[in-house]
Amino acid sequence: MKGQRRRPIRGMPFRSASKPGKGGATQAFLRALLVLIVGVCVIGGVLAYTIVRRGLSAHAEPSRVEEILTGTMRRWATPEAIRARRNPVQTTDDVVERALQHYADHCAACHANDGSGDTEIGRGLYPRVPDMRAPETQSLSDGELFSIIEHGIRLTGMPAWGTGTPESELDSWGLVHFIRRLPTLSPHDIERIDALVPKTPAQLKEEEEIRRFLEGDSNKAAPQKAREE
Amino acid sequence: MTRRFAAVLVALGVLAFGSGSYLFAHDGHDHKVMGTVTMAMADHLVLKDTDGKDITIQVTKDTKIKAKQAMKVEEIKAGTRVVVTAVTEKDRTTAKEIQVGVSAAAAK
Repeated sequence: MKGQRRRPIRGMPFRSASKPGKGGATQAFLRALLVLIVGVCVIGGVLAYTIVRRGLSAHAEPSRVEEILTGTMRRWATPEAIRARRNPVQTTDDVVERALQHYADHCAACHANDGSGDTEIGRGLYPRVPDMRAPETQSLSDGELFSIIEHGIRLTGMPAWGTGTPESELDSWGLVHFIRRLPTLSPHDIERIDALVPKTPAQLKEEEEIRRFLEGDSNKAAPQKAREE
Repeated sequence: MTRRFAAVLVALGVLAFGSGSYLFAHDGHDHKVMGTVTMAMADHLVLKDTDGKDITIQVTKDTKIKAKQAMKVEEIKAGTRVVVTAVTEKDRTTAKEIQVGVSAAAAK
């Protein structure tokens, strides 16, 4: 036997055989599955350890990968038929005015009077409230904007405003027109929205104190930190 | 197939660590500062608040000025009453909006 070379047994080729059979494909699949399971366990373990040690905070900025993943998931969650819809409501001054009032009443608290999202709530939500004047929002189709308003976005601060009634849909389509105008809102429009935003008695009192102070009323005004907005 | 799984794992990893690295970033809160301007420069404003305390507020290109006439920060005269909507972060107060009122001399 000395000096004799081993030969493959017929029907049991070495790994380097040029054409893997059915068993080879199964092996590759099992190997991939194992890699996946181990990978998920490792990442899950590290994530769990990090969460337990440091906690989770909405102060964090979502990573770019997370933004891309959630954006893609949101697109997938909007049915193609809705995504492709054009706004069926004609743009008229009345429609835009009604939408402006609607926006001031329902949306400005989070999205800001100018649509920038720069509000106390907007900066504190995870993910952040987007700047709706920016291309990321303006490039969405009418149908996508409508769907977001009507059905909300899961795992974000965006609620579903739709009630399933024709009136609600009409309001949402009107808001789509208004969102398109956000990048070109005039300072006058923004002031009008501010005047229409619902305010608490404390906020109204503070506004009055500020007005009196700026107009020169010599009575001692509100303290320096009048209100955290 | 293994490559595809590996790509998904990398994405999940980036997601996990990307979020973790920013866990405790923290922004300040808006508040209003009412006072009389003692000095106005292009990049900052010094004012005496209603309690008589001197406060320096930084001005940036994003600072909005709300006045009867369009003006720059450095054009605000000493003695003018202002209400500043500001945000304080790490001992630095930055103006988001400055509402310009009458001068102290014109005050009733």
